[in-house]
Amino acid sequence: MSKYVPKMAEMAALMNGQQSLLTGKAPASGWLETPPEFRPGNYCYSAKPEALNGLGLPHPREWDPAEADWKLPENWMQLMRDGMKARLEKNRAFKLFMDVCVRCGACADKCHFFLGTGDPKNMPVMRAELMRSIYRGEFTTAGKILGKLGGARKFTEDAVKEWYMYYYQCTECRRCSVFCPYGIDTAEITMMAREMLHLIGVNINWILKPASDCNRTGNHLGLEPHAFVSSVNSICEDLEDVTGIAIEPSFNRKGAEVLFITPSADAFAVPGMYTMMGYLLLFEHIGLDYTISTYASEGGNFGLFSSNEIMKKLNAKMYHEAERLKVKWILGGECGHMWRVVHQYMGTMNGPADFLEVPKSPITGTVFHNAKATKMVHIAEFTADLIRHKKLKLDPSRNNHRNVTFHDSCNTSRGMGMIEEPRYILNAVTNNFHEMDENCIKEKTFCCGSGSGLNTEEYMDIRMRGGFPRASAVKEVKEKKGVNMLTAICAIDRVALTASMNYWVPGVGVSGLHELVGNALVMEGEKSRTEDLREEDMDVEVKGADAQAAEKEEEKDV
Amino acid sequence: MDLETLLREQQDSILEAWLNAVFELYPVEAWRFLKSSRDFYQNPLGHTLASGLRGLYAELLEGTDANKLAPLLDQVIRVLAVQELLPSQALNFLFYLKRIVRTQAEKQGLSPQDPELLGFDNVVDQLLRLSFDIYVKCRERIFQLKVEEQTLQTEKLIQLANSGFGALRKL
Repeated sequence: MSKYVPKMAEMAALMNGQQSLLTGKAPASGWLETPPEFRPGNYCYSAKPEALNGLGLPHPREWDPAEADWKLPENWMQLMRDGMKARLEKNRAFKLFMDVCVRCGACADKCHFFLGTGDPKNMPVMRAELMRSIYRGEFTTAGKILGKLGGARKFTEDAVKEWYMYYYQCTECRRCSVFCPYGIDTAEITMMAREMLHLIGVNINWILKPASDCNRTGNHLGLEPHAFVSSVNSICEDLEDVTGIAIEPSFNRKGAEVLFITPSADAFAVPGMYTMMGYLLLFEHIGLDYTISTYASEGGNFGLFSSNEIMKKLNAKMYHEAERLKVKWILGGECGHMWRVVHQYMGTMNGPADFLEVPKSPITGTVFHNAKATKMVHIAEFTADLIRHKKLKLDPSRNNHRNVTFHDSCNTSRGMGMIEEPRYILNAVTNNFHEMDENCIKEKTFCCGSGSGLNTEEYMDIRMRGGFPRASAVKEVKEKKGVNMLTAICAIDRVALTASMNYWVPGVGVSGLHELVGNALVMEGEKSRTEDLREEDMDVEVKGADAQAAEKEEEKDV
Repeated sequence: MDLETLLREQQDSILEAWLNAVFELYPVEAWRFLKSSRDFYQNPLGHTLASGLRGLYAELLEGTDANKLAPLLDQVIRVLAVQELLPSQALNFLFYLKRIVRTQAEKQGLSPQDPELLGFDNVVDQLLRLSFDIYVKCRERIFQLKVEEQTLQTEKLIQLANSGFGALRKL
């Protein structure tokens, strides 16, 4: 017999012998005994010592999750036990979440990571079980006695590795919580896990490096004031090239009425910088008395993805700068998690901001009572109010080349209930707005797949899996309605969805809401143009001041 | 019975076996879920894989037009290319199809050397060639995305650095 004739048994053994986390038929071991396997693409790089040092976090060291030895501190188990005990005593919600789950399964199929990976440990109930099993084994009498029979286990290195894999495979989006009959906030379980992992120096670089930079310079990229100003000014130069409108934004100006804070990605990254152009045009259009701080130069807060202490510290600069610059109130740009921090934590964490006034729109006179506690207004609320009072001169046909759908960011929709304002604005600034399926918008929205600090390139495979449910919905509206632009009010979304669309739904771009507002604004003194803020061709031709003047001249001549 | 009649008559059982074989790539807790008939947004992965495979099968019954088969292959492979699978595992689904069809054919008394059966094998082999191309294209896209993401994040800063932070003059 020729050596090339395959022996079926050998081939079968070869094909089926390639076991991995998600392969093979029913795994030989139960899920609690199946250890995580780290390979390129499925984990985030560990945090570098300088990032930990910058934040004063313990156990800085070089280590690699793919190596067997994580170089944990000798007393790591005690640190974890003490950390969990302290949190159980301090946070009643956490204790309740550990005790109250009845495993009804309502959350099981709601997580985008489960829907995109088919990995059972990504079912929110199972992800939480990674911690609950240890809670039972370490802290409950029944668990101590029954052990495995009672679904209980002790801390082990494998359990720590499992936490690292799955609590950094949760974007804290809280979709599962919407469906939980007990209202268990699985995101808070993830937050607790991440806090505890910090105690033994287990953390990821893509969160801690920006947090550390932000701690030092005020923004995630570590841009110092001169670089931040240059960056915004350079955007203004591009903006002038396109529209003919010269804008000189004000920085660190004391006595301005409003302090404007937005994610720093809007100041330097594509496509965020086009959203920045939109803000700047809007402020110019209405003559807003605003200033931008070069220290509170970051709306985002990676502390939310790390620990409550870091979150509080990074958030404090907003009020510090508002007080130093003696503004009346704060206007916030398009960001997701920034608004979760502002809306849910800032008031009690760093408030009360008695030195500020209840925000009142200087253009419409509307008082934003909803922002009475924080003194900070979301730009979508602000703009929607301007449109409602007909204070903006808009030409939605300038967005005719965009067939738009809207992605509700998890933090703004589920975290602060901002549902209608962005839609109201979209309907005013575009002629072609189409909703995605109702099962995946508003408070049921799917995460972009890269939130809570997972938006890093080494994690691209998992990000694509997590982004798959959202992308599937976009694909549907692309096929049915010809959608070519996905709009979102979050800086992480804008970057994450760009990659996700490029993989899953090529041909769909990603923009911020205020980029479309900027496109539609009819500015006084603008020049004639055929291109939008991205310098891409529009369907319509804008007749600017120059063309109108020329026409008048012609009329005179006639 | 000729092969085409068999492929049409046994369509349901062949498709079920094929889908099961693909879903069994996943852990047992997940494959029951993936097979379930929940609506699209409750089970996008299951729906995408199932509709891709069903579409492929239907298209194979009609002919061998690569222009029609490629988008369906793409729909399935784009998903499998970013799962926790080796390339050999991700493209295994086409080998499954051959095996399932041969098993059914043998049951119906078709000779393993039946020319139509050999022809069907050949068609699936051609699909495999296409699949390699699609799989590699998907993986290349992933690596490109990593590069593009870095570029989009930094090109403005590099532009600024090159201009010697000239905008400082405006301060």
